[in-house]
Amino acid sequence: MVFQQYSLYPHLTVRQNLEFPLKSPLLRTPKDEIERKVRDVAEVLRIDHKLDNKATALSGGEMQRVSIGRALVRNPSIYLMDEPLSSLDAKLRAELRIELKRIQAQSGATLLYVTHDQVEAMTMATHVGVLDHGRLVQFGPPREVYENPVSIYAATRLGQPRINLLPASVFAGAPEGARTIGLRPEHIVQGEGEEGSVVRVERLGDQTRLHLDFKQHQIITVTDPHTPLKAGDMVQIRPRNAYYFDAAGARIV
Amino acid sequence: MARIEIRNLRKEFGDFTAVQSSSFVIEDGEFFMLLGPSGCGKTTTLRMMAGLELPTSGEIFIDNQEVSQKRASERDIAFVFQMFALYPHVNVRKNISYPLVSQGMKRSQVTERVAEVSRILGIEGILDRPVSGLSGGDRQRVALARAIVREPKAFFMDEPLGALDAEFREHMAHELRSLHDRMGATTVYVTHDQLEAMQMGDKIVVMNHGVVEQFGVPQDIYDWPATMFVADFIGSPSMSFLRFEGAVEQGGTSVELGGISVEVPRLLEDAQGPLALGVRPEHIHFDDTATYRGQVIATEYLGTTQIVSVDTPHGALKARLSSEQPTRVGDAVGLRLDKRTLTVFDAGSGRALISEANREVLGHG
Amino acid sequence: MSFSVTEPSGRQKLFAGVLVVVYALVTIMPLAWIIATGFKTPSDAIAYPPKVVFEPSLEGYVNLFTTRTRASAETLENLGEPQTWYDSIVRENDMVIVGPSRYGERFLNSVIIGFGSTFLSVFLGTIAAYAFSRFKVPLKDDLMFFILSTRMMPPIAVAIPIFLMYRELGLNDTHLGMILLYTAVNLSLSVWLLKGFIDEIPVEYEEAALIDGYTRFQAFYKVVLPQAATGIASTAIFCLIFAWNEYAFAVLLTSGTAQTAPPFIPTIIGVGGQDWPAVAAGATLFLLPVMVFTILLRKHLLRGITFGAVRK
Repeated sequence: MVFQQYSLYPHLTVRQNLEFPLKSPLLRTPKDEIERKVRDVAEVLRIDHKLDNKATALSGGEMQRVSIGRALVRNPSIYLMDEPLSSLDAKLRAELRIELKRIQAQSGATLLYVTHDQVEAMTMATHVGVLDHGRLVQFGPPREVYENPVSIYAATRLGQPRINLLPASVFAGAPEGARTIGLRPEHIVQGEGEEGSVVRVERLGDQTRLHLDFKQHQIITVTDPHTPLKAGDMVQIRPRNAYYFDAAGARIV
Repeated sequence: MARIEIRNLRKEFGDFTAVQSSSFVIEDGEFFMLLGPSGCGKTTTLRMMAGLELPTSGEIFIDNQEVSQKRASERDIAFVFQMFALYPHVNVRKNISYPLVSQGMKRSQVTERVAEVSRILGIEGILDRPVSGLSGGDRQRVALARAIVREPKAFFMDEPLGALDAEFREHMAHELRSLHDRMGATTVYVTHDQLEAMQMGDKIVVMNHGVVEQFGVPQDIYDWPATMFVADFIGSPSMSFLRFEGAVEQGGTSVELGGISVEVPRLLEDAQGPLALGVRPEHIHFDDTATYRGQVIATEYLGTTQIVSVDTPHGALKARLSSEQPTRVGDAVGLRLDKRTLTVFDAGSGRALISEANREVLGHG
Repeated sequence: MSFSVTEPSGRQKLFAGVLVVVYALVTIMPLAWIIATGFKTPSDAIAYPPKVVFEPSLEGYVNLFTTRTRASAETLENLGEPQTWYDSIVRENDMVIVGPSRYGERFLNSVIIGFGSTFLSVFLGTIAAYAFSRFKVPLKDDLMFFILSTRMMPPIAVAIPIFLMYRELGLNDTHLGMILLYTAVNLSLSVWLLKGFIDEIPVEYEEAALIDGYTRFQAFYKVVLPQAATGIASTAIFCLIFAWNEYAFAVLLTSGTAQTAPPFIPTIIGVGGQDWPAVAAGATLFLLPVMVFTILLRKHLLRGITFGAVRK
């Protein structure tokens, strides 16, 4: 089990921290095997040069790697991870996402990973289970959950910026029984359709987000990073690949 | 409201120099971001502007008044702390009226003002509640109300969203920005989150090790970073670097990567030794006819786009491609880099070489 | 993250319950015995086997607060009927009350010295702790260590020097002398405890107040003090308990005007044989102030004792 807080033993060195689970009365691993396993895991996690440092003398990312390492040395059949990356800063999180995925691919072990971060869910998982108040509402590969959400709830879990939800009547052509239309920001075609006004232009570098006021509804869409649009301009928009949901929030089309 | 100017501001704590000669200007009504990793001096800079630290040297002008040696209370500014610093032993109303009471304002007037700001922030319903039971968002709103109520010259915010969880942070960032759009007050905002800075800021100062690395509007900083640090710090994923030894000449329009020529914007200065070619993920395209090649080592699905990590002889690249494009780990791919968007860096000093493309942004061409 | 713990079985619950009750009995026993003894007659108090059920009497309390003398039958007859209920209790033993005892005075001394030194320790401790916590004090760590080092030997080890010093300074057997002494002993504890509490109060609260236009002192008074209330309360209790119960110095340095209750209570035994009920009554009354004080502040005390065990 890997916890959100690193939960290392601060009075021990990295090596002693890694050895700890192996030395437990439950496992009683022989000495040379402990040595070998610790070395292997440290190499995989790229902390082998820090083995003799005190656990407190590490950076946040290194601490988290050690705590993951402590789970790895035991070679369990299943890893349980509770938001192990959420206390790290963005850069490191991106790095460790790839690292964890690589470790998982290399060891072939089963990993059950709890997260509220949709980027982690999408990038790392082979399968995603979406939980709503303790009930599993959708299960499948991330791509399927993203492209084919079963409900409003599942649709809002993945995607950044978040899916736009509007009354179905805002656009023409809603199917029977549809109460809500769900539009991913990239599923809005610009330059045709009905007019909305630009409230704010948010330049993120690689993409620019447009905050639109469309028939008194807020819509966020993405556009070219160097768009000349500015607040107050009018834009025509039309939905493409929209999702429709019924009154209970379940997907119909 | 006020224009703020910082001139050669410096702060030393004993032997440690937290801020080295920083200078920048915050125009009236701007939402200004101080961005950098932890320990880069951004918070110290803000605290000096607020009067919570005294600078070792340098000047701070708020509304054309030199205030660097004045007390915090004499600067007429409001400060929003990361943990909000609401007084836990009194209720919301008292928290908001605290700054007014200290000015000796009449009671009827205080009541009026508190009512007004609580309406702006939509917290009329919780005025008589103790602050200890409030949610993160409501605490944030109360902290903002306490800042606004005095109608100060400027707002200083030290990572005000840092304590909130990711989902709510996005929401509050939006709320904060629209509040700013309504009030138009000069705001200085410290953050280590580049996305937050890009999203909310009119202008950004990027700091590292107490030095101002770059200062400008978000899109310029993203497109034309002044240093490799800025290039790496801004963007997610950040700019990738192809590192190589070589020489470029003034007027040159290409660099040699292991014998393969890659076109770049026309350079306006010479350089030799360790160099790096910087490219943003969305400016890398897979093209089997391209001569520069690499091997896919990882893919990350992100919905409409995917991030593909590619190993090349000059280091790893990250490319942002459409999710429609099939990619498999292990594939050998040809890489075409959009020549209009590339920056060449002196890898020794980390400085960007001036080219025709970035001349305007980096100024000193 | 918490591990789920299985609900204890009925037998485990029963065992735990029995354990708690037995432990409570063992600890409450001496206390109950003292209180009971206070209401016994002297003969009941020394009866063997000890009497658990007895006829309550206020003789102990009357004896505690009075000085009496044995009177001849003749004298008693001349006095006529006893005027008050306590007169009649005393007369039954062929005695008459000749005046009040010194217990009241000694008790008052204890209150003055105990609460006085507690107030002073907490007051000085808070100010010192605030300074150590918030300001750049030169040699801060060394000073903090020095303050702690005053507790490294038992205070009584320096009893003789203090006795001589006090004699020279004329502080022997004065309230001021005892207050200063107990404050000196308690201050290091108080500074250390309170520094811990104040360190935990985010400095941003004061900074917010400073920006809002309050002075440093106002910020301390209006923002830090209310939040440090828990720490101050528990520190005050620790200080009071020490000063209230202190015996050795009290014996050494006080004999008359400033004598506290602890050295006085045993001297009660001397009057008219082994007067255990009076001693017990004195002890019972002596327990009350600390008990009341602790109960009044127990809300804070509980938070204070568990303080620091779990962070955030």
